Amino acid sequence: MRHLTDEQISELLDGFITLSDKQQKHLKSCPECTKKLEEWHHISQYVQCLPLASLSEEASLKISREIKQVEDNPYQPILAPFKKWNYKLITASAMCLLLVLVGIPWVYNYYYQTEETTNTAVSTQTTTETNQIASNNANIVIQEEETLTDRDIFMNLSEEYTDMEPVKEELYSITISDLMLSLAEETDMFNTSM
Amino acid sequence: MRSLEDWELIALAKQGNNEAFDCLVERYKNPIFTLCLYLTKNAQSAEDLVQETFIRLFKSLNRVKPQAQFKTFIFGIARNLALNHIRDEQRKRNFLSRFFDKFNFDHKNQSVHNPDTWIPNESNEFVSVVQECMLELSPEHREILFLRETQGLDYESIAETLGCQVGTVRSRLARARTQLREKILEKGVMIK
Repeated sequence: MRHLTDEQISELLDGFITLSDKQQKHLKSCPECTKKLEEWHHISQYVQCLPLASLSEEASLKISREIKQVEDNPYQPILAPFKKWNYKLITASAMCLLLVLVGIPWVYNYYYQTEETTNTAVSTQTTTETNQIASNNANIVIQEEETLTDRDIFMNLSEEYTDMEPVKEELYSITISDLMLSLAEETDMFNTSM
Repeated sequence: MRSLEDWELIALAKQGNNEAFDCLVERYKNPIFTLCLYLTKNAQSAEDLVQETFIRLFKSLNRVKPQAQFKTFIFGIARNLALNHIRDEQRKRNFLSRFFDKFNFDHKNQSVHNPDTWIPNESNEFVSVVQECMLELSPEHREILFLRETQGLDYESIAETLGCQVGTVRSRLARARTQLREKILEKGVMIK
């Protein structure tokens, strides 16, 4: 008959299996299986005897303190993630910081450059427009000058003069003495020129 | 109070009896500490895990419903916390090793763990060897041997604690015992 498997020996050791008659006969007659069962039995006894590690008094007190704290503040979440280094939180914070540090200059540059380009575009556009308007005006003036006849000029002048009111005060303010003075100057001029 | 069953203590703790909860802490702090040590191999981490386990238990007292065994329940909490801790530590170690490798920095001496600090000195030579060999096993074998041999849980309770099938418990326990036996024999110690 085949040897007992490790699982069968393990279960037999724990008392969770009942061997068939054949298996029991084999176990009694097979020194290898018997030896293995005995060895496992010894090991099991020693493992059971292994002492439990004892928690330090300080740690026990710490547990009591923490539980007391939870009891006092039942709705306050325990900040377990912050008790140790939380690498996810740190990475997320660093990424946010990096994003802000890189993002602000980028956004500033982006908007600054766009504004500058629009300004230059607008200025170039306005200069071209003004140049064009000026040249158009000049053309119109030239055309007008070309088309004006003497009669038109005369008419324009007359219109200007008719619009103007005569400066009566000045006219009436010329006295005889002024006339005499002007005449004297004229005669003096004549004399000197002669 | 000390003579009461675990679930009776839980019922009292639900009513606000702090002494009952302290009694539970006193009863289970060392087994949970040992389990966490077997899983993490780090005394400081194990202490933190014990503390976290009891805080979790205290916070969820109103939601706790009596099960077959309280041990199963409390070991389940501790085990899940320990596994999360191990996973986080593994990630941290991987990150650090990649970082140190990149800068050609010798990180072999930067080990966080010191597994030998917590082992109680045992006068019996064979028990010391068994203890040493236990630590050489994989965490899953250590924990299953602890739950079966030291805590005396049956297969169903172990399966409940570990969140696996009874068949898995049976085969894993057999493998753990085989490996432990082989390791003891490798050290040249007669098993008797």
